Amino acid sequence: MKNIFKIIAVSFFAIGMIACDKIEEPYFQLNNEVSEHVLLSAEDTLNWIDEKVVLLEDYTGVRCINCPDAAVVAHQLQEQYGHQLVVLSVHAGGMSNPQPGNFPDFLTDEGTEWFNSFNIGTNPNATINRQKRGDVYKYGVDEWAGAVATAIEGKSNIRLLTALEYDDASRELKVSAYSKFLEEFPDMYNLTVCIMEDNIVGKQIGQSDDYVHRHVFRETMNGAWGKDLNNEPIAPNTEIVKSYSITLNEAFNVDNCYVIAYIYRVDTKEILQVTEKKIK
Amino acid sequence: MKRFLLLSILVLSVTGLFAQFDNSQINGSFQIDGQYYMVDDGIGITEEYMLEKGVPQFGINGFGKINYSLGNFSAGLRYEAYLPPMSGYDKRLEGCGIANYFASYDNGTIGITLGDIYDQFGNGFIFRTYEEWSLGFDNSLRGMRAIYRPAQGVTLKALYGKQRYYWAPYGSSETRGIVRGFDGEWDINQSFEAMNNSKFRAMLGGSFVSKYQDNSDTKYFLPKNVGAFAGRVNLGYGRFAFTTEYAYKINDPSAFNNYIYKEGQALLSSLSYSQKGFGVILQVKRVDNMSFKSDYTKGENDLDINFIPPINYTHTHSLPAIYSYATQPLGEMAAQLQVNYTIPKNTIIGGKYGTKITLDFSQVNDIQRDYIYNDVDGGINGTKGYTSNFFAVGDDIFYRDFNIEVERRLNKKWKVIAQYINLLYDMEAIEDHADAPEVNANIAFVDVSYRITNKQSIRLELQHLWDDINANTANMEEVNAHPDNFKKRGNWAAALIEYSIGSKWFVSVGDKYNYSNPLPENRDHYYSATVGFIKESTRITLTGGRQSEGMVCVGGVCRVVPASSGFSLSITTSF
Repeated sequence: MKNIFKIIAVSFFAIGMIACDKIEEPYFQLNNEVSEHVLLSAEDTLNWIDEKVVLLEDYTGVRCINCPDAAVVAHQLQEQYGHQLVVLSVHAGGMSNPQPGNFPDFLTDEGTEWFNSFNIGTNPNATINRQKRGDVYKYGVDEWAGAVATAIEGKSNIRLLTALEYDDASRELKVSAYSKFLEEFPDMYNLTVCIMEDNIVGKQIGQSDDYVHRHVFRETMNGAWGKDLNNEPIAPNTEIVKSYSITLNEAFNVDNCYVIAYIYRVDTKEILQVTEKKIK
Repeated sequence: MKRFLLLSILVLSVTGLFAQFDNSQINGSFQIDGQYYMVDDGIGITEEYMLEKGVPQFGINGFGKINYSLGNFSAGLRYEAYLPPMSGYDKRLEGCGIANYFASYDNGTIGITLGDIYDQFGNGFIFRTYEEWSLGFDNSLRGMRAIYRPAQGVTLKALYGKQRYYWAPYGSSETRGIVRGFDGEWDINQSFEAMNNSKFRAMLGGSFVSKYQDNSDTKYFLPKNVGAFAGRVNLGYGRFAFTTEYAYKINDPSAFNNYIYKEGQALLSSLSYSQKGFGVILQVKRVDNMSFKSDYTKGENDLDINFIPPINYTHTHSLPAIYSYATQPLGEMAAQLQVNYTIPKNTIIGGKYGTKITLDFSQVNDIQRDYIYNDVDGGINGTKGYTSNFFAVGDDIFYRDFNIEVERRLNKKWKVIAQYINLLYDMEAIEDHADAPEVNANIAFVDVSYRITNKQSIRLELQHLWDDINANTANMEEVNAHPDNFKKRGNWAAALIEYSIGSKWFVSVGDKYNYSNPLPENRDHYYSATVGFIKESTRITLTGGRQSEGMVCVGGVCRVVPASSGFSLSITTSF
């Protein structure tokens, strides 16, 4: 009887510790939002077109044997669709651990959160505009071509462009995302702004030590799930501007860095429009 | 021979089966409430009003419940239909289906329940699931519960599941959280034979409840697991009883508490003495940030995991019930003292049959708070919210009620109940009416019953409410600026006469008149007539007339009832 009570008391205590998330300050999430906007150039304004741009998020890993082949498929698709397909290689999951073997560390908190949220499970797998088939977000490599072709069809009713300002000395990067909604959008939408670094040379399992890692997701400027664009339905022809400012990480080669911004619907997570721009 | 043996076995088995079913029990209940709503310009119910408020032409709420038990096994289900829900009930109830089902096995040592679970830990500070038909409230937990009684007097419970949210499915795509809980209770008197009949009684209890809800919030770092602990002690010696329960909840930022990261605490202590003809109870309560829901985005009473018990007098007569107190999970400091005394019969003051006197005083204040503001937008969201001294009482009084009730049987035919109430009611805090002035009211009622014959009786009820803000004293500038805050203000008079024939039939006619409302258009009569039939466990009532806007409160949880006019029919039965 005494042992039973001891076991129950210890179990009670253990469960209590696990099932309580004590949050320490800061309580507010990353908030790099600024009120001053970078102006669009005349050329950018003219380029406001409503063609669809699709985001392929390739969940990959430095210790994933089959991932280099998948990366080739992604790159070939990008060559086929040009600026209408943006590729982001998200290193997440067990196969992106840099150890054992001293591989490069491209793991990020945001990438891990997306990997878990979308139930990616293994590498390589991708999301295509985070569109679901039933309850499933991920697509196998042999499904990417078909899924991209379907997602890219038709026009988009959202225009999205970014204007950038970068200072070499301070490494301060300022991004303004301009969006225009051509018809009524009744739901809630978020904007996520990411930094992608291309052409990072480093070890990859089954490849040479000078393997070139393409389209590597580095970090977001406004949190894993971005920031809200609206808190009430959006009327037709509404324009919204959001600006963010960060100091670019010293480890990133700014000459190979891009800003990728995308708008997605909060309840379904589906991405509705994407834009990509080189920083320099 | 073999065939004979086989047939014998078959017959014996079937007979045995039927014999088992002979020990089974089936019980249940049914209820249908329907109301036909009519336009009534006299009390401002126009077609536009009905359209704006979503009042249906005919609302009907109904349920049917069946329970089956056989030995240690029991199962049941409840079918509900709101087609559409009656006015004042949440529109999300519209629909029909099996709202509740369960299967349970309990052999006295082990108990397992699968399906929809109703249970409570202690006072309910960290867990209470229940259903209240008059409120349209049901926060049952669909999942499983295990009960283990390892020794006499010791009960251990564990449960796990997802709460009911109107007719929402329970799949993984639903965003509301998962609740898991554990409770242990030790009744010391049952555990030790020597204490079985002791004057000294003791019970200890402890519980833990945690909610898990995934979130992808973009503004705050929100906890996915929110845990709450509670401990309770019940002691008794002879006629004295002392109970106390303390609860603690970790950070639980939510839409309800403005996304603050303060921990929550609650304490309820009660000391009572009771003997034949005399009883006294003193209760004190503190509640600080104890809203606990399985979805951090929800408000009102949606998805409450816990329950804050009220410690104020529950008034059943219509005029004092206009200002019924709703518990405030975000903060309360409350106290109640109630004394019951029966003046013995056959005494000069007590009379031939004795006289019952009840004195009750209760007051609920806000807690004291020192707010912490953030630099982002100047609000308390995204901070610890405030600090609050555990024993300090806030200056704002939410509710105060002093009442004295006398009940006396004069002779075999006459019985009288009279009550006086002095009430203070903070309408702004309790009903969320911004800038509404507090209510200071004196209320009195007399309830007289006369037994005409053994089979016929008549009852007369007279009530009056004196409001400090009425037609003579109101500041009309304030009234015209916020007319909604004064819809039920002013003096009221009410009368009801009820005639009963035998134990089966009754008919009543009544009227409530807001004769001194600051706004002339609100000075309305709310008359009604009811015919009722009761036979054994079946009750049928038909009511026609007007109903004033008010609140229906059960256990401190309230539902707003809008004004209406029309006919209603209610049928209940059980078997």
